[in-house]
Amino acid sequence: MTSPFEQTMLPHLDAAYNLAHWLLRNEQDARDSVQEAYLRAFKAFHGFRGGDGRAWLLTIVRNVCYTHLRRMQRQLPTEPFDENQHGRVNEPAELAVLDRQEIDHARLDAALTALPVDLREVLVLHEIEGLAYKEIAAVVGIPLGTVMSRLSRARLRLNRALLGPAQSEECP
Amino acid sequence: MTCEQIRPLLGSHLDEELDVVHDATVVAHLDTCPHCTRELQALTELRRTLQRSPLRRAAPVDLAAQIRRQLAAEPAAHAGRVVRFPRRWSQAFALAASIALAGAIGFQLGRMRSERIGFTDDATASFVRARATGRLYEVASSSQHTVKPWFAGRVDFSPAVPDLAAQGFPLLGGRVERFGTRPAAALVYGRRQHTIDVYVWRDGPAASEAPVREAGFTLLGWKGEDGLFYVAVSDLAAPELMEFRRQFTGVDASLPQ
Repeated sequence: MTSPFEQTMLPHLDAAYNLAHWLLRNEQDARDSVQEAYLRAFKAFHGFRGGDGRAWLLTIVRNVCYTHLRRMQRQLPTEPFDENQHGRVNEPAELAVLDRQEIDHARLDAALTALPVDLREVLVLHEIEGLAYKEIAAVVGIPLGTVMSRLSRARLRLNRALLGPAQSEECP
Repeated sequence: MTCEQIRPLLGSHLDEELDVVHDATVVAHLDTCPHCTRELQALTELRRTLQRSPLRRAAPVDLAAQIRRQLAAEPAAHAGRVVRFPRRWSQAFALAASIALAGAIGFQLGRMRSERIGFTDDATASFVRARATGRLYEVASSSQHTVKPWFAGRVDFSPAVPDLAAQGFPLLGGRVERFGTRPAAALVYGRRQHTIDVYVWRDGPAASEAPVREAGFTLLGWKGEDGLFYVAVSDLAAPELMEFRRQFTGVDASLPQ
């Protein structure tokens, strides 16, 4: 006999675990954080007004993970990116087409893992979890425009990381 | 608009997140600009690369049970309830009356919404319940020749069960559901590490043919050529679910008919 909480929130377990994995980058920490998130969600469930349960739960998962990250001091979330100040100065303006490359999965995994956490999380939430921009904005707590710019930068960096030194071998 | 202005919008265009006006502007620019078109192609290839890879991590198989055990041991076992008991009796009566009224209105609204949208609440509830209990399949098979005949004698209609494995939507199995008094067939398809439930029933009402978001899930309906009613439910986003419907029905609804 499953409780209303379990019925509403357990279907999102994979989404919760996936986000925790990509934020914390190891299985045990992800497990611990997801468990803690579910416990917090359970205690806060009376405040859940219905609607998007997944976004509500993922917000809690994210908060637990960031608390963990700060505590472990492995990697602090990057400073807020000021578009006006930093713009696109250091990054190439264009993506190069990947289609002639065979990208192996391990390399892709590593490239995604190596992204700064603020870029990695929006990419994971969008490309892997399929959240809409509005939902990502709610979970991460940033404006819609920032979702767009972080996704853009994440894609640029990932593309560059995947092409890497091999880029010079490919003559367009 | 210049390439400089268009380029930041290309990602949002690919993600189908731009409003109609901006999207039209991007499309018009792409028609005459090979540079930006190439850029969009690069973004599209990156997306395909990401989707082809097993990047999504599923929760370890024992984690759900572990969480349930932990919750069961929690002292605040009634924290899940919405109702709080007030101290004064007059408040209690007022509360009871307003709950009853809200319940009656809610029931009416729920019924109206359900019939207008067509099983949205039932479909989402079935989807959620199957995953919460782990009972997705009564017949687990990737062969349409096993799943389709399984429904004979269990529902009084024959749902379409296409083989979409080559299109990236493998059949996983099926089960029977009940929407109120109506029996419905549930087909389960996979997509990367996600799943899609397709509910099939007879005698209407129809589900919305435009994508609907309900509690974090996407629903997409259609009426089959066989006269049966279909709705696909998943945690996938609308564009992918629409691709699923295109493949399932063999009809591209985005093209002029």
